[in-house]
Amino acid sequence: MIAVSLLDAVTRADQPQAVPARTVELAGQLIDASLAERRRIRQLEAEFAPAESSDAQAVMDIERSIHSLYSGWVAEGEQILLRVRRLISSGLEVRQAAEMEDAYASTLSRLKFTPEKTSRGMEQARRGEFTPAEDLRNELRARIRS
Amino acid sequence: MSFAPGFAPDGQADWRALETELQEQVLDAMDRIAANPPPPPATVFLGDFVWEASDAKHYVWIRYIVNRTAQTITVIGITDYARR
Repeated sequence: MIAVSLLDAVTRADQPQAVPARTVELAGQLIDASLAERRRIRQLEAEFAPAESSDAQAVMDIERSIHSLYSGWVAEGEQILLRVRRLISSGLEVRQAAEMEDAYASTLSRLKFTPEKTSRGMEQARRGEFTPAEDLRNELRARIRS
Repeated sequence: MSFAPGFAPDGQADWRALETELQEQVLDAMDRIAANPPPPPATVFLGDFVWEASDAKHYVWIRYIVNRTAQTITVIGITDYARR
């Protein structure tokens, strides 16, 4: 990632206690770009979501592709966050750092939806395997009461 | 039009693995989706929310399937990542 390398280079060139505003601005720009990329992936995911009638192979192909996009995003996002956290621990404020932390954590959760998991769940729904939520709500209430 | 929310077996297993308060949050999220399902042609879709517990921030994703004929919304999976 070229911009991360640039951030490394300018950060190394600066004294840790005297990081100039342009370095912090570059970190903010990296976050902007990363969050925009994640929004684009989410848009693609919504646009190309599998239909219930989609055949299993088509579902797996789309899911693998979206999963791989999120995986790539997480790998880059982690590199950005490592550097941003360093700037923040030096007492600097980086814009949208909290949003980036949220997006990163949320994407780690999203990645737990593997293509295999989605495909298996769709197959179960297709077979009509269904437990009403109300049953579990009642069970939960009984558990809380006891 | 309101749909009946429910779980496929994997969705139910994921729900059971959550802590109690989060289980309730998921059921509430399902009720909201069932009361206001996405318009056609969406059939398989994801919803997400963030829930702050006392010790962690939870990032939750739920995958739903809408069956417009049976008027059901089935959760086929739930994921949770807790940031402490």
